[in-house]
Amino acid sequence: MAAITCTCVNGVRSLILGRYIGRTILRTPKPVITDCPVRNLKRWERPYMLYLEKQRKKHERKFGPPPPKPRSEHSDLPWNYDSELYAFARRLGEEINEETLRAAFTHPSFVAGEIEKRKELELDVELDMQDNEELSHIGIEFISEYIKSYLRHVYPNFPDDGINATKDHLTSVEVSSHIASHLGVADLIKYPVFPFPEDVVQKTFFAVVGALLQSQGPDRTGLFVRDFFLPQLMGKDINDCWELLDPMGLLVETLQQQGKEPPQPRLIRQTGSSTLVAMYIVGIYSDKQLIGSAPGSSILEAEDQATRVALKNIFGTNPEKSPPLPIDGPIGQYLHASIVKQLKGGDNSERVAVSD
Amino acid sequence: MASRAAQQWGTFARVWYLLDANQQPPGRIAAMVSPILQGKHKPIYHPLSDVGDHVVIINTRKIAFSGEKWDRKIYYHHTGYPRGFSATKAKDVHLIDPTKIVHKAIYGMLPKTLTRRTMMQRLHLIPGQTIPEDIKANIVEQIVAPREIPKPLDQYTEEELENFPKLWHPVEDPDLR
Repeated sequence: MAAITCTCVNGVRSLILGRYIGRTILRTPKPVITDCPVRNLKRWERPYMLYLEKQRKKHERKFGPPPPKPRSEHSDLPWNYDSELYAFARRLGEEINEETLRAAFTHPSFVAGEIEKRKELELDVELDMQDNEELSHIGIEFISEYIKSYLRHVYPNFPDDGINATKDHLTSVEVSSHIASHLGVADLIKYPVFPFPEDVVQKTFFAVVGALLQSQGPDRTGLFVRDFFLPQLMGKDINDCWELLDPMGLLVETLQQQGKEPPQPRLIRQTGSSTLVAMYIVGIYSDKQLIGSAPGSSILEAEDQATRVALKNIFGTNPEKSPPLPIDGPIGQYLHASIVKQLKGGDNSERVAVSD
Repeated sequence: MASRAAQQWGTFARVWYLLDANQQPPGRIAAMVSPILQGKHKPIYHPLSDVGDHVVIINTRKIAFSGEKWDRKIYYHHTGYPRGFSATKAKDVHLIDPTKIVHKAIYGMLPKTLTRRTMMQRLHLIPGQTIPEDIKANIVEQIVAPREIPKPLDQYTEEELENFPKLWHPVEDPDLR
């Protein structure tokens, strides 16, 4: 794609020349892209470019937009898969075994497809291609363990269900494929159909992590998981990942376990009770101490909100009151070191173990 | 904190204030009520965001002009038609409609924009003590009245009257002057 960042008067020219001229519509030889002339603007250039753009739009209106193509098939792009693989690893600042990385990007259905093709061509069916099935399992296991361990260290009072819910959110298809696409994983995938479905991208990403784990070990891989998965929690309330259907029941249980008095909801403030826009503020008290309060459009809603706030305060996950995630800095480094130590299988303390 | 929706509901909720206008000067009441109706007491204030609160003023019949305003203050009005000019003293206006003086005072102190009428809709004036039930259910806060009501003489106890500091003692025999 040439001259696309050209910001001169001939912007229109840059827009068109990269993609659509020549091959698709006019069948002229590929125009030579030079840097935009500042002087010598020909009188015919602008009308010609506008005409071409009009033709392209007409074509698009009639036949729809051109179908998406994988990056390897983009025109004007010299694509060398091996160098792209190498560049991918170097871009992340990691050194990964080439064979493992190649396997990580190969989906099982691609291998199956290749075998089919060979059968049709009556070639030798013995194929030396490895797929990413096993690697993706290794990857997701490591990612889950690291994330759970991290969250357990940062939020020691947060129940296991909440931590698992957050881990599920971070390793969900939407979030994982979002991270993967932005790292350039999607361009290297080997899968028979384009555009790739999101779960294929997710699986490949986990396989890449698995490949990294096999090449570098838990320390570097842990840093990778920490640097790419955990920042997705920034600005997000982690309590939202956990779908609580009965907050009051959980609150009663939690206070009982802590040996405190059962919760008592009280109406603190209200306004406009006879109007449609009534507002009530309910506070939850335990042993005459306020543990959480929240507004609501009805007393029941306010009570429900207040219970959730009380739970957040007890678990220490209230985003207004807890510090930001320690990802970097001395605390973050120390935290990473303890997690890696635990994952390597040394630490048996109950506090940091999270059951599924 | 509570969910964003709940937080927003709490932030933009309208509060209902009560103000007792008994023995209060209507101008000073208006000066206190006008910013509340506009929402200027809130950090979320903006002239275009409708964030004013409700104010219920009771005992508007009992307002107290200082000086001789009941006789001297004239409310002028022209209907727009020929021979439609009228000049009415405050006391006469008050007899016709005991809420009108407070209404005009507050109306004059609000910004002269299209939002003024909306703010006036949130002002509830009651001439007496009896508040309608639906409004009563909404009221949550009270605005402290601007003027401290002086105690009438008959409400002082004997002890207080005796102990009150005197400037001079009345002479007993009036012939000895």
